[in-house]
Amino acid sequence: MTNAQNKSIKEQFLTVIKSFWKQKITHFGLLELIVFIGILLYFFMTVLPLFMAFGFSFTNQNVLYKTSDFIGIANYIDLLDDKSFIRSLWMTTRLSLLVTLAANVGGLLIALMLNVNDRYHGALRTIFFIPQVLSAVIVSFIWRIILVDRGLLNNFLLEIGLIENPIHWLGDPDMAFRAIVIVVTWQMIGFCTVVYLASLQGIPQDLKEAAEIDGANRWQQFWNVVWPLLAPGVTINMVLLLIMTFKLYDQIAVLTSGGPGGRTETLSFYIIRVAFSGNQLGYGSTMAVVLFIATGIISGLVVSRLKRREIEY
Amino acid sequence: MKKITFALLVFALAISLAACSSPAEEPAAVEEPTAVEEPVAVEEPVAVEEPVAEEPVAEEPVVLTMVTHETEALDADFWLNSIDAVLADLDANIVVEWSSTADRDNYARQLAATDQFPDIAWAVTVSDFAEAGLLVPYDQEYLDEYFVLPNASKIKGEAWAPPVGAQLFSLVFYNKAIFEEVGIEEPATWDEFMANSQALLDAGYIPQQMCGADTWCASFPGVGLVSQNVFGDDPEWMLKRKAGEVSFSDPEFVAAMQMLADQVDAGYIDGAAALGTDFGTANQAFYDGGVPMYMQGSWFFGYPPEDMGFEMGAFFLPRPDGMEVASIYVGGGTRVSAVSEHPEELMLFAEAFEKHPDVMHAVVQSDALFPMMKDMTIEDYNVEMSDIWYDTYENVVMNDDFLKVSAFTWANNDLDPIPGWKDEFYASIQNILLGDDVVEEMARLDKVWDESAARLAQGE
Repeated sequence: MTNAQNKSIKEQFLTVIKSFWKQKITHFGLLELIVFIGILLYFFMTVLPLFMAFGFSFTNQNVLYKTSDFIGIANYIDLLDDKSFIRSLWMTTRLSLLVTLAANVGGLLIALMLNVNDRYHGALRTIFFIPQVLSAVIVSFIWRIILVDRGLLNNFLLEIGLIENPIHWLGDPDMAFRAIVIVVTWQMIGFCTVVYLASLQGIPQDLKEAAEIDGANRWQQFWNVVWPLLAPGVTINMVLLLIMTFKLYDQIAVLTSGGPGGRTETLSFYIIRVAFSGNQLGYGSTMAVVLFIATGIISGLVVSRLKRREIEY
Repeated sequence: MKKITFALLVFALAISLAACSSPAEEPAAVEEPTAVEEPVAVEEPVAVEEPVAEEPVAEEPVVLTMVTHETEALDADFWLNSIDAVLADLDANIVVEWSSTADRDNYARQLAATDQFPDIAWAVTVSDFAEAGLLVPYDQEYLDEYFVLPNASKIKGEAWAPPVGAQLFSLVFYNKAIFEEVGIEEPATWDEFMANSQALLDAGYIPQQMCGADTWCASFPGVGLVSQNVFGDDPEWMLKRKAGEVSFSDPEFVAAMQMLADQVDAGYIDGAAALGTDFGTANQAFYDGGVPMYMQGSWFFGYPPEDMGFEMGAFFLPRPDGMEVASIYVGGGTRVSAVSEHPEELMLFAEAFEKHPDVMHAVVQSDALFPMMKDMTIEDYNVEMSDIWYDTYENVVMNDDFLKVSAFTWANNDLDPIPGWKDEFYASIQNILLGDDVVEEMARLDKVWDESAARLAQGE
């Protein structure tokens, strides 16, 4: 192709682009463009890998090999007898429910306390939200320094005489589980607080004033006026927290590496271990599909149940 | 409007697809044929111009990628300075792009799955990547020329990592002052070891410390007991397990792991405390002088500070029959990619790097690696090591009469377990520390091994 011909194509292309920009692009066209790019990214980053994982789940794909064989539902059958999978699924479910409940209750209480518009409370809102902004890995490293047997917490408790021997926050399976619940709740509580704050500030003041005029005390105002109107915030927090905690990996990897003895191994951690350390990408994908389905079902059930509570006003 | 929208959508799609695709070399621009000049009619002889000397076009450097991990001693400065030193000595047109990761095995797997396997993947598990055809074996002549044990780390007859040095396992480091205080000596048999532990317990000490919070660190007692007792009797035991001829539920393996459970039951190891203590904390506790015994690898020879306040000793975990056995790992960090675009330059750099004086100095000094290089003495590495290290080097590592077996789950050879299984073994050790039944744990390990092996065999 000659330079002249190259130049000609370039010029034509630029002319086309220029003419597009010169023409009036309506608000509606620009939106279509933005949405399309978003859909495209979502497709390649989320939907396509999901389908690929689904496909891998019916194979014996080894992470280091290019080819694999179709093995039907053998992986799914193996899962039924995999005690580590069942244990990690149960552990993840317990963790998810506890964190979701604790973070929501804590977040609501904090939001109620912070629902005052002044500079002081504005600063407090920022402080409470900081853990949410920090990387889960960083948060976990900090907590690990605090929680190891000769860590900051035990040293402090020993110093003030509250305990005689170090508490095995991460060494004892039950304590390790509780420690993880606390750490994850601590990080998630800021998110719940912000959502509840937004919901609280969307509640018309006159409704509360009307209730007060009618003789309702603070608890009655909260239970009969504020709580029903918080339903959208509750739905958002419950669903998002359930989804986030069901996929928990970072905190487990740093705090306990799934130990001791695999007792704090979440499903995501087990999937990564099997798929990558164990080279069993096909089997790991099977578990990932099950995790996806489980998360979807639970989220769907929660949303449908909680949506019924939401009031239009 | 529809035309605009469609065109913009196509444009966006094109950009998205271009962004998503792997970087590909741009095709060389096709040069236009230069116009042929018409010959000029020559009336007079034209002076021939001297040809203008063209400046040589600088050749693009070969770019190699290298992924390693970092430790306190082998930090970013060490790697970058070592790479620069090696390249300066080589005087080759090579550039090395270095990066580090905490979990080098899993990261290397991800890179391999996305066709980005690095040219050098430092210290990854050899067996997995070698069997997948991602590593280049070392030439036997090269191994014979440079290394004391050229065949020490072979898998299926090939060496995929250079046997530059050795580390020992099953070592129990101890506080000589505490031993003296309690009136005990280095044990020669398992019974003596347990008796010493009882004496320490009676004196108010927790006899053995462990760093169980880190799973690899939790492995040492189990690794030591199996290596000393099972491999000590049958060095080929792991090959038999791979062939299905033995199992982890067999008496000899169960007996070895029961020795760990016995220590926990007797209170010689505080299981929960061990599991809550990480590597750094455990090391510091030993330096502080309150810990009688601490199981670690031989790299621990290089860790204690000079002002530790007591003399450190070390002995191998004793067997019931008193036979002296050392469990050993022989290898080096370099793993050379078989899918590199520059195989010759890569091997040139790799061979230079793994033997470079700066690199050897650092790994010997900081990690107490026992060097296994031919025609080299310790003085050549310009290191300052403790007397006990020299003693171990002379009397154990370089002593052909001292029985050495591969360190269980740390081997770099055919005795390596199947991928992912050692995590299960380390979890079992943690479970035993928590008081779980040994027989049940070994049965679980057999089940996991058999199922994983079946799935892996299908996938290869």
